[in-house]
Amino acid sequence: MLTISHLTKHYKGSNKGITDLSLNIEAQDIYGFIGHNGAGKTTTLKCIAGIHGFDSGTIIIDGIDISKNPIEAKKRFAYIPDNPDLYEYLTGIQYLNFIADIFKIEKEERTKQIKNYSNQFELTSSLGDLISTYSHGMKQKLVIIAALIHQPKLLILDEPFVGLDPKSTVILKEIMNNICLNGGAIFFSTHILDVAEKLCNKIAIIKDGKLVISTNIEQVVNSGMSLESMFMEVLKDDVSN
Amino acid sequence: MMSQISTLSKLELINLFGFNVFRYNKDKKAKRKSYYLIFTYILLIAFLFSYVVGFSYGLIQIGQYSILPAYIITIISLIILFFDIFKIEGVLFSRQGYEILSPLPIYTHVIVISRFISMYVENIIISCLILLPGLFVYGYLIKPDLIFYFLFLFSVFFIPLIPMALSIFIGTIITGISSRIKHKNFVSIFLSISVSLFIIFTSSKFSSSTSDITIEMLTNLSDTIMNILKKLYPFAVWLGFSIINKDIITWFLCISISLIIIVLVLLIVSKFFQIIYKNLYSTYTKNNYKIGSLKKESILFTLTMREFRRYFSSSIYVTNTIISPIMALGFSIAIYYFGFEVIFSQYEYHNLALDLIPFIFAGAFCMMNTTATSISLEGKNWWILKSLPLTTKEILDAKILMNLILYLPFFIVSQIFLILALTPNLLDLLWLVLIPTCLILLSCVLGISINLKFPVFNWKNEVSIVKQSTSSLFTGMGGLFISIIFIILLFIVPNNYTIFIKIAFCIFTLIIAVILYFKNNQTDLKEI
Repeated sequence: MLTISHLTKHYKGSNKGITDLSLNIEAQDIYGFIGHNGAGKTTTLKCIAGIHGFDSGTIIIDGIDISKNPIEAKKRFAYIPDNPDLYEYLTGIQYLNFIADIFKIEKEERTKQIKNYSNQFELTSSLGDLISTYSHGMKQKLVIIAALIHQPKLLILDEPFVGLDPKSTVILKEIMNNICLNGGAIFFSTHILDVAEKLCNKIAIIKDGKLVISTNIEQVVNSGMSLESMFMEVLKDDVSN
Repeated sequence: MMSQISTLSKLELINLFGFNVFRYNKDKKAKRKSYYLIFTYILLIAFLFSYVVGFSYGLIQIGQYSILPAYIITIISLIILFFDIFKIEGVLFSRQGYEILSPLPIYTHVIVISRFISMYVENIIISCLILLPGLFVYGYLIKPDLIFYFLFLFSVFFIPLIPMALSIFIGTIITGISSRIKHKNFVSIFLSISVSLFIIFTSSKFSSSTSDITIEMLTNLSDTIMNILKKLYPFAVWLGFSIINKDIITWFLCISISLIIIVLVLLIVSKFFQIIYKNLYSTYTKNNYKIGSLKKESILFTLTMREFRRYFSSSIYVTNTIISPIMALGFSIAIYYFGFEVIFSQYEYHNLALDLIPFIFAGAFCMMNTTATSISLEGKNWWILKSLPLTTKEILDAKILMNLILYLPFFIVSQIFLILALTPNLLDLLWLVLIPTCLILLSCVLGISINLKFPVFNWKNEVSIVKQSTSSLFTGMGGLFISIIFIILLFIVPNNYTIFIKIAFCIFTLIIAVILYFKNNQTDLKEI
């Protein structure tokens, strides 16, 4: 579903970025991407989403190279950022219609999807109001709905549970599971290791732009360690080095 | 309180003209762009210097040196008044920063004063750029004594105060009125444009009264100009003459009046600041939406509609760009009502008027267009377009189309007035329509090209992008420059060959527009 090979991206005038990162996400994976602040999680996700260019490597989404055919690749996934900077001058429904138009979703299908997800997230009554009046959590919900209405095969999320109320968190987890059951995949970054441990079947830990661990959650559990202690070990190795 | 004012003012001033970002930015590409902006400003300052030196020299040469200080003070004041009115909502009542400061133990009037100080410092710099070259010419030719220099130089700190007080007062009233109304932006746009058109009309009315000059007026030129300045801005005359006559008492009275006025205005604004701020940023929610039937639109339509909504959501974006087509419309209405013979009668080549008008009309349209800042104004939302399955062409086409659709009604109405006024034959009609069309197309595409080269996404307020960015300055200058070059050629070539100038203009502008259009569409927006 998503293959990242030897991805390298460094920001100009800085040594920050990602170096030689390789990952493989298959259908039905819920892949957790964990790392400390400034490790390179958001940079990785933005490279996949086509927001940033990168220095070298390849990113293949559902068999399509994002560098060679970005339009086709972008039709197959949806990206949800950590900070929902949306068009404050649009109403919620205008934004959803905008996204639906870009993905050329037919009238009946978009009505059905918007009704379904906005009811689940209890956002329907606010869709007629300007996004500038929304709270952070409401914006987060709107961005999630917009990501789901074109039924992407791959969902890329950057810290999706930040700002969501508990009910919406449960709903989002259910949606993620459903996407995987239907042959899709999820790739998300998070700081909440409990969520990653319970929700994901695979995880990767990134440190200072480099991938240090990529494994099944089962192996972590079977080793007798918690994800948290594994993460702390990884960080400790750096300190002792 | 003084320490709070000092701390907050430093915070406001630290990034004056983007200096702090330039200082600490390690991105070489961004630094290079800053150099381009600095170069643009240097060019503009050079033009300004030349203009001031030119008219100062001219006035002194015809023996009118006594009115030079008043003239300079009037120009500075008009510039500050005109530009500051548009800044009040975006700078004085800026949301950015206020939400961080308001929970802190800081007085409201401290916030108002610190924001005023940042505007004041900018205006001092503008005042110096106009005053110093005039002073240099005056000093070189007239050789006044030291008191003159002291009075004139020290006045630079007080000249901006009254125009600033007026623009803050008017701007606050506009912001205050619009903040209480649901459709704040439209009210703010309407009021801001009305006020600025009033300023343009009033000042041009006074300067155009030179067309009524009689022989007696010419022989008493300084009185004539003085009467005009007295009607326009009497304070400039009082201050100017106090400097010339070394009348320290009058000079001191003038600067005291300006100080008292600005203090009063700041006190009034501080008193009402929180009420206006609260109303300005209060939002209406109905919270009663029910999903009905939804429409499907094409990608171009949906992107263009989004551009329009973005445009009209910002009073600063609108007021700073709509002036261009309004001025073009005003020009055509003036031609219709006063007749082109009257307007062009003072020119030796008035028979060239029919040839000149399309170029002047075109130049007016291109001074400030929307595409020049449309990419930068995406700001923090830029990620949305980049992550969607959209081609560069689709994204940029919508920006160009919005600009063209916006200009269309002004263009059509202006053309009607020009056609009625000039009653051109078929060929002249063709040039009247074709020349501005070609330049408007080029200007729109050029705006995109320049904004792709000099994008700025991490802005604090829209004023810095719409009014002060490299992109907006270069694009405005570019369109005008092309127009002026061909106007000059019209004067140079024999009358029989003016048709070739027009043909060359259309071909040149269209070819450049097409080349730039295709080049823009090749841009990989990931790198922007």
